Amino acid sequence: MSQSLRSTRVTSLLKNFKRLESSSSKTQIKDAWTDFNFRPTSLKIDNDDIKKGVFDKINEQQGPHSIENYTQKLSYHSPNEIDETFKQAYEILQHEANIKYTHVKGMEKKLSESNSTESTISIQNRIDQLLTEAELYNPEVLYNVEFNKPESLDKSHPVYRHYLKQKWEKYDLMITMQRLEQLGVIPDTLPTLNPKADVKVKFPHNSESQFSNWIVPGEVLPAFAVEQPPTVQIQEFETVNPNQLYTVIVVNPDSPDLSTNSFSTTLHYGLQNIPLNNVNNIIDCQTLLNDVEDKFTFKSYVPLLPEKNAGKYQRACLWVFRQSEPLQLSSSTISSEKFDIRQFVASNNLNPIGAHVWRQVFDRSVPEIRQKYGLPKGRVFHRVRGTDPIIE
Amino acid sequence: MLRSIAGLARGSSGTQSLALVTLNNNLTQIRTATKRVSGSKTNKNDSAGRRLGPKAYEGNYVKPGTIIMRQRGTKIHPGENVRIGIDHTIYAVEPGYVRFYLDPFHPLRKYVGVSLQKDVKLPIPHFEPRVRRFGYIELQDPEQAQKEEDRKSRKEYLYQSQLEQKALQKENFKNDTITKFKEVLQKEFAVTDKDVELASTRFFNILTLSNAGHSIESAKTQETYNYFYSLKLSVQKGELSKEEESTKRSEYLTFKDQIESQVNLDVNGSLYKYLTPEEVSTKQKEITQKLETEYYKVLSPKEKTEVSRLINTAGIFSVSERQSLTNRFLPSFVPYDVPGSVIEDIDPENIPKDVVAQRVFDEATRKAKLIGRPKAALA
Repeated sequence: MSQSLRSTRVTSLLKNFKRLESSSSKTQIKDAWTDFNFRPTSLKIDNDDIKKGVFDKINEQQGPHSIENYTQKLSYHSPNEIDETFKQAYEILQHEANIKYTHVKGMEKKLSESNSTESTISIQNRIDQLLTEAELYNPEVLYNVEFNKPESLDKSHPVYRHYLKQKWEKYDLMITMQRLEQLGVIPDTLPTLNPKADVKVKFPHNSESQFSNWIVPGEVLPAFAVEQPPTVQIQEFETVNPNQLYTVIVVNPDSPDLSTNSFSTTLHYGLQNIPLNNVNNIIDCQTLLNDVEDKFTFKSYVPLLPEKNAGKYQRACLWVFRQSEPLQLSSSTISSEKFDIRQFVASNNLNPIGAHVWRQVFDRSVPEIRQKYGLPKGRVFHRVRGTDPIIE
Repeated sequence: MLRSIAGLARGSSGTQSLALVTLNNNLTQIRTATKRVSGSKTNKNDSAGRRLGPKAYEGNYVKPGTIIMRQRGTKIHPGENVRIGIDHTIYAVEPGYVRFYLDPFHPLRKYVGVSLQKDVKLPIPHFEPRVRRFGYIELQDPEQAQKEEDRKSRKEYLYQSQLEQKALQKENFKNDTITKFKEVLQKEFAVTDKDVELASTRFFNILTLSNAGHSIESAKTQETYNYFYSLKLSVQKGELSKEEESTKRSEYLTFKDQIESQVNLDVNGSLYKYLTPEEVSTKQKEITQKLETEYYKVLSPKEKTEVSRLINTAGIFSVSERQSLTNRFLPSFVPYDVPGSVIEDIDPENIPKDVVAQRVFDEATRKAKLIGRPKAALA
């Protein structure tokens, strides 16, 4: 495209845009992306030098601040006309954001007037959507998403959750669903899963870095690595109701049931009524330290301790549920042997939003941990599988 | 003779052609044998039947290995609890009842499977839990059971010596660190003999947790939790009563608070006097100030050890802060913008011994130029 043609197109676009601006000048919000009176500061680039590099001309003698290596810094050259183009594009995009923010203001007014919960939820969802759209192309937000660690992003803002969700859907979600399906967690425990939250699991009591990090779904772990209750992180991407409570359970669908020559499900861990939100989304040892009277724990943790030759692997299936109301479960009413997870979910009105799985098999640390938990010695099975049919 | 008749027909009128038809009708057909006699070499292509078809029928009980179907190609596909052989033979892998069925996911195929239970139809509905057979038989003889439990795979057997060595190393590290901690705690911090055992173990556990990726603060919380968890397990086992547990808990909490107000652990494994957050931040500022003013240059080996000592001062900087300070003040290759790291105007004929000549591209003049770099900057 020739230079002149391009410039005429740009001017016509700008004209259009100015006309738009004048027509909507009655609504108040201007320069939304630079105004931090009504926007959180987490939408800013933290480092002022880097921010300067993003918005202003880069000094050729110094190079951009975001590059650390001195020689690489000096060999950086901005593309031709990038500063002018960036400025024009920024103006257009910011104008669109201004319109979105004006809408948000109107919706917020509606929200304060609404009294039915249903309409409140729908308005809140609409506001989240508008906020996301308003900040979707903000260069500062994009910089933070691209270069900051996911843990340091502000999960209370819907735009960061939007980008985190995108990232999750691209890799972690696919891994999780693949493992849940291929290892038969679905449908051996629950029929299926409509995933809503990113569920991560780790065992922080481990003093070996091999076992102390977040575990990949389906990993095979030794018994000593799962000796104590796991830390569970539940990252919700939708805006969470402030009173939302969660239930977390770990079940093993591979406990040998010799009376039927088949398998039964055992409950290994149960937590209820855990208040979580978008920002405070972790159940760790601090949570459990505060839970002295077992307010949250309705089934205290017992690790899977597979017996010798009892099948290839046993699966520890961790399920996370949103509760519809506070629960009063207790270990006296729930038997962990022959646990019917489907009936449990239906009777307590639970909504599954995420799951995780790790696998275990007999290893040399099993007897020691059985002793620690005061459990009897494990059975031993013949290593060749027999041909007896299921007992009906 | 036929030819003569044909010749007549060509030039003939109506009566003559009629005579031909009658003549034709009177011709008797002769069927000659086209099939060669059985002694011929081309008639040997037939073979005996291959006895294909189902070998077990709907509802029949089969054992693992029983052949259910012999076929050419997959007339019938293998379904649940069966497998298919190299010649498409379908055989059972679980004991149960044969079922021929259709699968809604593959509507054009016929399937055969083995249902583990007599009254269960196949396919099992998509969202229902699978029916699975356990099949392993418990060893009742305790001696035999122990033998089987101790049996190692070849891989495990071959790794034994390495595992033992690792365990020994770990044990030695633990003993050494704990004795070192005990010494320091008793001499420098005057911790009582009663607490020193518990304190040194606690600090050792915190150290191993921090080596596994915890920050010191989270490692402390984790260690406290671990201690409480072991108490909880002893209550479960009946070794402790509930009251004993709660007194032990409160004792531990006071002990922990007291020891933490005196001593702290550094990430590199040394114990130091507890510093308040204000003290830490002033010390941080002090050290960074000193580094910026005095040590942002090409350093001699002596200065390098001093910088490293400053950066690794116990309890001042976190691991990541230490890393970034090391990158800035102790780089393996000093950047060009550090004062004294570039010597302009060197004589290419006569380069000093402690200087390395480099041709670099000068961004300002956009030309290559010769510069000298002290050898200390490139170490």
